[in-house]
Amino acid sequence: MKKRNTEILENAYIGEKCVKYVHKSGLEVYITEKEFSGFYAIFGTRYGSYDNKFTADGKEYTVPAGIAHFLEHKMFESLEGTDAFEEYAAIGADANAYTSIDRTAYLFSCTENFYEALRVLINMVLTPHFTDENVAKEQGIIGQEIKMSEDRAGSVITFNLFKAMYETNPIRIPIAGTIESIAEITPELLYHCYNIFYRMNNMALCVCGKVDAEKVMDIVDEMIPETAQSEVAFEVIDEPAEVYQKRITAEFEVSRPIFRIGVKFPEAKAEDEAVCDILWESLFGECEDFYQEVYESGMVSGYTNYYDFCRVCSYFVVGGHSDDPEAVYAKFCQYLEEKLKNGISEEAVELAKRALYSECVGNFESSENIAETMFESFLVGEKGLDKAESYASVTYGQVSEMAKRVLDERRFALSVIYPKNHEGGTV
Amino acid sequence: MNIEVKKIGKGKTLGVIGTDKFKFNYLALNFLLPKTEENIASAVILARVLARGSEMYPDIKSINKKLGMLYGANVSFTAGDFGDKFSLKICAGFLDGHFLPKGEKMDILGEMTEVLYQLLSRPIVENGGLSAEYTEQEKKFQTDKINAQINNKDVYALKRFASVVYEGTPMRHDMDGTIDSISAVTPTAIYALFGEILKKSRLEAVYAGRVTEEVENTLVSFINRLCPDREEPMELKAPQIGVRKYDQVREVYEEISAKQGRMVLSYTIPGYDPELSGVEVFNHIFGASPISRLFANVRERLQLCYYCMSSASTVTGLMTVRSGLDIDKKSVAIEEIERQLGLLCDEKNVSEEELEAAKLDICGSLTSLEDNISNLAEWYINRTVYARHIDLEKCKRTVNAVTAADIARVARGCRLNVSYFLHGTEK
Repeated sequence: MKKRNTEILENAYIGEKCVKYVHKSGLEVYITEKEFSGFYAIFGTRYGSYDNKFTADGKEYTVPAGIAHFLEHKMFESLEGTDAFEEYAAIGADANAYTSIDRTAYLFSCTENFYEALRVLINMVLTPHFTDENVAKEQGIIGQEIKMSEDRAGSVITFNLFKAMYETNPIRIPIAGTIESIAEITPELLYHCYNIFYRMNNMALCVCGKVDAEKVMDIVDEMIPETAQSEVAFEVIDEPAEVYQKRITAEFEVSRPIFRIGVKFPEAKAEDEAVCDILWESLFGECEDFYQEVYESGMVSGYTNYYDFCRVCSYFVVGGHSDDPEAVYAKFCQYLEEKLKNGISEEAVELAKRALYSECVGNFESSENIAETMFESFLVGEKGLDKAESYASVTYGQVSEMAKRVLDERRFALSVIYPKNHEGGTV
Repeated sequence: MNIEVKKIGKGKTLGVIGTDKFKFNYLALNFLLPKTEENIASAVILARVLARGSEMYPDIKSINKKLGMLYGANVSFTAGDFGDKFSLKICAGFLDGHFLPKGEKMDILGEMTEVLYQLLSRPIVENGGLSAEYTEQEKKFQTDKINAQINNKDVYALKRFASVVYEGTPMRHDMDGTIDSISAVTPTAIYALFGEILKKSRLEAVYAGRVTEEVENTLVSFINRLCPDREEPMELKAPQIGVRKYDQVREVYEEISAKQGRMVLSYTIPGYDPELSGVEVFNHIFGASPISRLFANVRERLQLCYYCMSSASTVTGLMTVRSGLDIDKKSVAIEEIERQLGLLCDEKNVSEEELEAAKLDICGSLTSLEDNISNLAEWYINRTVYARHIDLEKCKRTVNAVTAADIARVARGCRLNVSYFLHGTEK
């Protein structure tokens, strides 16, 4: 066995163990050996639609919106003119990729030929190929994708909410960009962003399945250059705690108004995530009074509530369909005022903790979930294996304190989509 | 992974999938009856009303609180679609007791089956029907849901298409119901349907997770408490769904306020036999992967759209091609789709590589079922209700036996039957 910079991450209670290997290039590799029938691998970078302004090698850069997503589309083509999808298909692997606000990930799943597929994945990510021709082609395809998103009320209401909450954070721009912004993308810009963000010290490889950790590390050593590079300095965009605008509305071909209430919390840190998650569930989970009242009165249907945290943003959401979103918003504010005055019940916190503990354990239920959990923990700097315990150990006092910090009406915004020709116009 | 089929009583069967691989367990009950337009609407509302409350748990808050105490256990009540049959479908997922937080002990399965028993055997009954208040509320929510189909243009296009292509067959009944059929539902009608379900429907149940003698006894006892043996249990056989065939392609054109159009084509495949995998492999090569004929040509080569994909129904043998594209590209797209289909009519045009890739991918998906407890359980239920064998290895052997000649034979049998286009009128 070779001597390598490895560490065993373990949670004996839930029976999970992972080998963490830090390659000389800085690439972090997470290998979870599990007796599943299938395998899963993610090779991802800390680079998403947020990163339009950055400093690298002493210089500042601004690039068009949507470039991270565009780059993701192009990575499947090679210099030889082959398509990585064909290589994957020939060995029975299913491949995909995604870009979000703070990350881009290339992944595959398979039930055989794992090591061959791993080589295809690594090779694909290490060998970009951008030309005027293939960039022009993709502008057409992504243009169609943008139109498809613009037809989806769910996408529109979410991005409108971000526009209302955030003044300068690029989260307010759709991940794929706009038709205008992607028209500015050139092969040179793509290579530029690739060279900066696809440095190994900015990336992680997470694999799960009936793998041999030594064999995975051998492949990484063989294929990944050992060159260490300087680190990327990510722009930290200053966002005030208050929302940018309290209201944003649009008209769309929908049957009934759709709404999202957002609560902004830009100063959150990774260690706040468990407390925030539990806070929101204890207030707006389906065991609680707010849900019961809006559901039983018929005020809201298609109810949703969640907390989202990542490197670049943190916010809470409650939403659904309602004939009178302003009335729901008023009810929301009144409900929180009462909770701040009288306190959240201990029972509510306990129920929230139990539900979220279970959700954390569920992160280890499949090779896909495990690989994604380890990638997430790389991105936010937390220990994915200990997440369940961190939720179980949150105290009522912590939740109460967080409520006082966060639940200020200056942090609230309302995004509504009304049916077309709605009286009252739009904001 | 073994699936043990237990006959609990006349017309009551329990599939048991024993595995220690997971941290959660899964239980599903399917009460099956033949489909009619009237009983679908009643089934949809019945499912929703049963989930609203019972004598012991009179409202959603009390139900959700109980489930919350069971570490976020989840229960869903829906009306399931099985071609010419429907089911009252109850699904439950819950943490296995081995993974509770340190120091906690709970018989979660025992508690879950008791909750389900209470919801199913002690509903709120008044004046010879189920709760009038809950019935009216759920009718309104379901009506809102039907109206909201227009919010997602892809879903809307498929629903409109299905209403055309399945005219005159049991599949024409939308499992959401219609505005009129939902409006006609009454508390006494759904109570009567419920009685019929408990006495006469065929019960197909499945449990997946850790299995001990105690677990099996709990499940058998629960099912027998819940419903008696059926007097004349419905026989399970493959549905005979014959779609209407037109001498000339039936063209349907509609408009909607949207940026992008949606096209849905249906192809009939005469002589379709669900036990032969020729259609499944053909569909994969034609349009169900990133290296398929449709993806490679309609999207990548001709850049007509972001997606163009096919799917084949194992119930009807109908193949559907879907695409999001502008109307000025429609005729070029159909021309290319038909051209690719024509090429596949000659087995010489079916490459060994794409045939093997399709088989590898389909067999990989079958193998992967063993890594997802609810997917495997639902696969078992679908196969059972459609009177098919439940031998995963046999399924793979059948797939692997498909030849290029089989692909060409299927292609030659495909006939474009219905062409539906939903034109987006926004610029």
